[in-house]
Amino acid sequence: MTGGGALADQVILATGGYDHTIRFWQAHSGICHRTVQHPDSQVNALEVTPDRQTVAVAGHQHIRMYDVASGNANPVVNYEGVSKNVTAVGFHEEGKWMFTGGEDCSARIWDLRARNLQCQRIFQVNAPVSCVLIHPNQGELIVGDQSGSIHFWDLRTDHNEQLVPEADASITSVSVDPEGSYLASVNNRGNCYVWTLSGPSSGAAAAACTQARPKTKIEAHRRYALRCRFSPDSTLLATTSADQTTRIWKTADFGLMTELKCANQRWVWDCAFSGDSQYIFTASSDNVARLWSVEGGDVKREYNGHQKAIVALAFSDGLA
Amino acid sequence: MAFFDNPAFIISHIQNSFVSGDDTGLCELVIVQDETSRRPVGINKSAWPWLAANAEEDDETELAHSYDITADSLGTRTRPRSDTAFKLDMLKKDKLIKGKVKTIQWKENVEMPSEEDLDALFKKKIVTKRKKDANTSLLTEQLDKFPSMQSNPFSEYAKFNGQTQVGIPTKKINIFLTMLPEGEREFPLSVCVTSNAKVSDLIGLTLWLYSCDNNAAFLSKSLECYTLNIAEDDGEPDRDFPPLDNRETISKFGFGTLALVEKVCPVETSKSLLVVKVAVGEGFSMFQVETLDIKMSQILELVLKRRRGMMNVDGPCYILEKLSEPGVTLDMDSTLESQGTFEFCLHREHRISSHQIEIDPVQQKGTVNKLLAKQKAVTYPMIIIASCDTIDDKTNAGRAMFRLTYKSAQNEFKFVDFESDRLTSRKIVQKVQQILDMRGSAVRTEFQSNKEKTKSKRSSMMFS
Repeated sequence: MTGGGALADQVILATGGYDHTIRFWQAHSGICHRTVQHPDSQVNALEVTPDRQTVAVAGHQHIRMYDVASGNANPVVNYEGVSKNVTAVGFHEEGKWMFTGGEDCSARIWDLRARNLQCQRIFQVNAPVSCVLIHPNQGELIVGDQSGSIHFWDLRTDHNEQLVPEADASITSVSVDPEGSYLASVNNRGNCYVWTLSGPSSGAAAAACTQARPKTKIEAHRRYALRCRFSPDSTLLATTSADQTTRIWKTADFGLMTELKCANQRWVWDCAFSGDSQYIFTASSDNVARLWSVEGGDVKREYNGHQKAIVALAFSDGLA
Repeated sequence: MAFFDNPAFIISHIQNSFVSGDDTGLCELVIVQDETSRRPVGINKSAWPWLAANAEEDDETELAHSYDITADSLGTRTRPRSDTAFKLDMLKKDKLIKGKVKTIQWKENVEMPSEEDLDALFKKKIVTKRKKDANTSLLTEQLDKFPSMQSNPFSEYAKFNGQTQVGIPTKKINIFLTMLPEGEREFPLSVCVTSNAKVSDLIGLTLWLYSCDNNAAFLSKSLECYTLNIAEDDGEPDRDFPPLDNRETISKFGFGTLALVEKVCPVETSKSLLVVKVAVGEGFSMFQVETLDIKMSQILELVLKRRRGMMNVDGPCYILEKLSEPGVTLDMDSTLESQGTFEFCLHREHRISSHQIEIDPVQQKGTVNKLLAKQKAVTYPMIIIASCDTIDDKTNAGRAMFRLTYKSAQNEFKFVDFESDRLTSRKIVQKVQQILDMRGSAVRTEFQSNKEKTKSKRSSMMFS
């Protein structure tokens, strides 16, 4: 399972939410070319696997994997045994393992190499986990929980560190830029905190846990912030909010570059940048996903079809 | 073939078979109509007493006189299945689906994985800085190729497309588009639609599919202009049958071929039609305007143009009022949009000037005003007006009457009475009297001296 090789000529855009379906879209035209039923559960998170063959859907008490290319209506694999909602899902970039986080206050590692699950790991915290992401160094997980703590879990040594930017402010999303230089988090008070990360640059220090130094605080939104994401070229940070806007900040000075808003949009739950950082997708509870130009701040495409709110988005760009 | 000598039963059975077997619903219409208009014939009550007894009951049931088929089952068209059978079916389906899906249960690891495993899986890598031009995007390339969003007016029906849906029942129908030019209408459009769609949704979906691939500028935007008809296999719509009811779900029908027919729209899409109605005197004028932004003054002009007879060179002023709010003059600069209604009333402005009095009586609805001799607009040059007085102040009705006395062409003093609401009539009386006082006129003095004379005459008569 190598990344980028197979199907690099395809752009994958998938959305999911409360209407029990997952829709796959032709990103440049706005046409929905496939709808898959996801019965009995809402969609909490969506992620395309590194080999771009499947999409992982985090739902209530399970994670289902759906085939991207085939017309198969059923999931190919169903991961169970977790209680309560699975709120986050992601993958090691070489597809060796999958990680999840959930309302059962844990982050888990699922072994994908073989079906006998030898390398399961679990990390317990004291509050429901709202977000989990993998550090670009592929050896650490960053876990955000509803008590306001951000945990660094070193998978090699099992060592962990904790950061609490704002006490009792539930963390809704965390993001690390692709170069491993910044960590951003947003919380339910609309505040965004940024740290600089000391990435290990030499072989010897590679084993050490990443250190985080506070960089800045942005009062990004007046209402809940729901998602934050760095752009692939590390120059931009996007934050989405219940105030119906998405704001794009420049990482050079963390000043505001563009505000993306339009009349009908309601809460913006998720966002994703295009491969060259020029466009951004947003998913909103007005049942519509949109494609925006980052520079111009205008809507380029709309993706209509969901019957209820869209709360999760997965995008994987192709290589031109 | 059944051997049965009860004609009523056989007839009833045959009728039922037609009704239940017919997809188009036409037999249902015909037979039910027929049945309600006449009684079942040939029941000999003495020979078949049980039949007579049942016949009363049957009159209550909706259509069928068959004893097998009840009104309920005719609606669902299948025999109601027992709960258990249904549940078993669902379980079987679930099992089938689950069989195809690999399920992996979370397994708790008792011990930590070995060092080799840890190294293999969780070793950190050095994160390198990205090269600037490494960020290429297929999306950007595709967006550049297709610069504008396809604005398909029927995109709201795209969600009924069964082709993109997996896991829910769909129906595949060939639809012939009869409104296309000669070369194109022979080829049907194969449409796969979700079973929960209505006929109107199917029409919308068909139009969307066509618009996606072809230039559909000639298609009417409104679905009301189209109907789906039963068609022959070659696409010819069968004119003997009525078009499919737009509100029916298509899962009811079993057709493989349908024809989309454009019907003549009786009224052009109502959204673009703006008709303004202006009541003028006894009749009214109706005319169409393009936009809601039109000013009231323009509407006034249009009305006056229509009714040329009302144009007066001296230009009595006309005013427009809302039909619902009589007495409130509308601002000529305001737009039609701000009025909130399309119905208006045209009046001549009551004008009193030192030159003349113009009065345009308002026609009272339903009442015949005996006091006003003629319902027409009149103009009195001030020079002949002798006096204006209030004569009757009907306090309870809030109305008042005033009299205008003038000298007619025959050199006689005549008067004319008007009724209006108290405020208006008082104002009129006041204004006229002011003007008369300011402008001394021969007529007035004559009238007044006449009054004096009659007064003094009377008083002198009294004393004598």
